[in-house]
Amino acid sequence: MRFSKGLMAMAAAVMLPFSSAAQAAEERLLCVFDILGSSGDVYNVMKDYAAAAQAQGYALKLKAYTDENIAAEDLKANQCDMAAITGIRGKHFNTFTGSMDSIGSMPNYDVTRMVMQVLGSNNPKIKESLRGSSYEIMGVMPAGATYLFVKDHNMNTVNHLAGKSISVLEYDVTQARMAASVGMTPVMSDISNFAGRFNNHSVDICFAPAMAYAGLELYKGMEPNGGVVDYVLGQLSMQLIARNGRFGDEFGDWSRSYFGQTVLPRAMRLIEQFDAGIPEKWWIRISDPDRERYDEMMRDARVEMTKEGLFNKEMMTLLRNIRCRVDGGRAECSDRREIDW
Amino acid sequence: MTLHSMFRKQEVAGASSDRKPRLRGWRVWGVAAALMAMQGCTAVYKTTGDILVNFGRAEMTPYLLQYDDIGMACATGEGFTPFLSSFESVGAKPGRLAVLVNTLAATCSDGKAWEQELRYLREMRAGDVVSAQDARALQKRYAAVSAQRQYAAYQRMVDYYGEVDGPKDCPRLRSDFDEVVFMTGLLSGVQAVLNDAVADGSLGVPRDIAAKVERAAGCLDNEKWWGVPMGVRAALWNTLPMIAPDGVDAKAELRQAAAQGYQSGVRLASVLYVVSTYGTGDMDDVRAGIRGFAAHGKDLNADYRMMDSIAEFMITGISDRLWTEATGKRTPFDGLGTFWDDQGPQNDINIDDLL
Repeated sequence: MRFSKGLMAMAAAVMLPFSSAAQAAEERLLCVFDILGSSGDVYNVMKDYAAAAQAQGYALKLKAYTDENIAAEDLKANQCDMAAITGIRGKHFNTFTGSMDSIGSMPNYDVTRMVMQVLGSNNPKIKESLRGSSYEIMGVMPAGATYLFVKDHNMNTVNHLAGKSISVLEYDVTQARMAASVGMTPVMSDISNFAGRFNNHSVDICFAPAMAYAGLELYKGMEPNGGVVDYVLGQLSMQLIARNGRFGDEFGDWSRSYFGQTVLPRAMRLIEQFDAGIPEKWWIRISDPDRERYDEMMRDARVEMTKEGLFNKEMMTLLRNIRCRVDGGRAECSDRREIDW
Repeated sequence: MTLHSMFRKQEVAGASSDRKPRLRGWRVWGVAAALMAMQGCTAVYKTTGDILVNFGRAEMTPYLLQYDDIGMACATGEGFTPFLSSFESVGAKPGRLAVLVNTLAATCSDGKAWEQELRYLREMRAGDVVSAQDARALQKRYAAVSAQRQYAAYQRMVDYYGEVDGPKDCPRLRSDFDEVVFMTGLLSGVQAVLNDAVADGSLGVPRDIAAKVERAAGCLDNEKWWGVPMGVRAALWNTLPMIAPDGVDAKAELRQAAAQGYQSGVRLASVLYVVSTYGTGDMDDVRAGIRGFAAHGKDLNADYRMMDSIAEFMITGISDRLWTEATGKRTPFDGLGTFWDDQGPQNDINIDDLL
C-alpha cells in the first residue's frame, strides 16, 4: 500500500511537468478590423500578439474584417471573444478609452506615447476604468494624428473655414458638432466614401490621418492649391476589446502591458513614417497665436461636450494632466477649467 | 508568329549599325588600344551592355517565359538582376529587363517568407511560442526583401512608361514585350505594398501604388492578357471598395477574370481572385478559386508557361496556408484543389439491396 502510494506520488511528480506543458491553450476568436483585411498592418500586429498570447494560455484564432461595423456587431453578438476596432467605433464599449480621440486632446506624439504607457501600466485606478460591466479594454495602440486636408491653402484660419463643406464620419456625432460649431457644413460620410468626395471636390475639406494621404490619394483633392493644416485635431486609436469572462485577469494585465511595451513603439514608427510621407509643400503652417487660439477653442468644445456626456470626464482629466506634464507652459495648465466643473 | 519571333523582331533593326570603313590587322588593335586609352573601357562595355540587353529582350525573355520551372526563374532573377542592371552605369538601358528579373528574384524571397509563415502556423498549433515568434521574425525579413525587389520592379516600370492618371495617359506599348513588362511591373507594385505590410511597413512602400495600379491596369487589353487586367482592378476594388466605381460587383468581376484565365491557358487571374478574397476573409471564394485553378491544368499556353507556373506557386502558397492552419501540414502532394474536410464520393449504393 505504502509502496503504491509512493509510486503514485512519483508518477505524479514525473507527469506534472508534462501535463502542464501539454495542457492545450484555450481557444478564442479574435476579430480584427483592418482596411486591407489579412494583408494589412493591424492584422499583422495581431498575428504577433497571437503568438505571444499563446504563451499566456490562449490560442487566438484571427478573423479579418474589412467592414468595421460588422466586426463591432459580431463582438456585441458574442461571435467574437475579442475584437480590434477603432476608438471611434469602440466608444460604445467603453467610454473612457472611447473618449481618447476627443478633439484636440492629444496635440502631439509625446502626449500620445505617455497616454498609451499609462493605459498599459495596469495601475489599479486605470484598470478599473478599462473594465466595464460587459467588456474590458485589453490594449490600445495609436493609429496616427488627424489633420484637416483642404482644397484651398487659404483655408488656413478658422474664419476661412466657415461656409465650407467637410466630410465627417456619420457614426461620430462629435465630428459633425465640431464642424458645425465653426460654421462648416458637415457631410455625413463613412470610411469608404469620405476620401472620394474630397478627391472629386464635392466637399472642400476632409479630416483624416496621414496614412490616408497616400493610401487614399488625398493629394488628388488638394491639387493644385490645397494643403494639410499643420494642427493636430486628434489622434486615432485601435483598441482591443474583450467580452468579460472570456479571459482571465492575469491575461488582461499581460495584454495591456504587451501593447504598452511591444506594440506602441512599432505603431509609432509606422505612424511617424506616414506623417513624414506628406511632402513639405503641402503643409500649411499656422502661427503660434493662432495655434493657441485653436487650443482654447478645442478646450471649450471638449468641456461643453463632456458636460453633455459625449466624453468621459475621467479621461478628459487624465489627458489634460498628461498634456501639462509634457508641456507645463500650455495656457490650460494654469487653470483647472477642464477638471473642476 | 511565335512569341519568340515577336520579341526578336524589333531588336534586329536596333542591332544593325552603320558600317564603318574596314580596318585590318594591327590597325584594328591600334585603334582599339587608342580608344581604350582615351575612353577607358566604357565604349566596349556599353556595346556589350546593349548586346546583352537586346539579347535578354529578344532571346532570353521568350525562352525563359516558356519554362515551367520556378526554381530557374528565381535563380535567373537573383543572378541576373545585378549583372544586367550594372550595364546602366555605362549607358545601356536594361530598365525593362530589370522589371522582369527583379520580379523573378522576388519569387525566391517570397518562397522563403511563405515557408516561415507555414512554420509559424505549425508552431502555433504545437504551442511552441518561441519557435513561432522566430518564424515570424524570419518571415518579416524575407517579406522585406521581396518588397524591396518588387518595389524596384515597379519603379523601373514607372521610370520607363510613366504613371497613369487616367485613360488618356496610357503609355504607348509598342510590342508584346512592352505589355508584358508593363503588366509585370503593375503586379509587382501591388505585391510590394502587401509584402511591406508583412514587414511592419519597414520599407515605406507608398500605399498609393494600389490606386495607381488600378488605373494603369485599364491600359491593357483584358482579353489578350488572360483576364489579368480586369483581375487586377477587381482585386483592388474588392480590397479597397473606396476606389471602386459605383455599383460594381468586384467578386463577380474576379470570377469572370479567373474564368478568362482558364480559357486562355494562363491562369494568372485566378491568383488575383484567390489572394484578394483571402485578404478579405471570403473563404468560400478562396476555395472556389483554388479548385478552379486545379481543375484547369490542361491545354496551357506554352509561350507563357512561366506566368502560369508563378500563378501555381502563389496559389499553392495560399492552399498550404489553409491546410497548415487546419491540419498542421501543407497541401498533400498532387492535392492542390482538395481540402481536408472534403466529403469523399457519396456512397449511394444501398448495400441492403445487394444482400
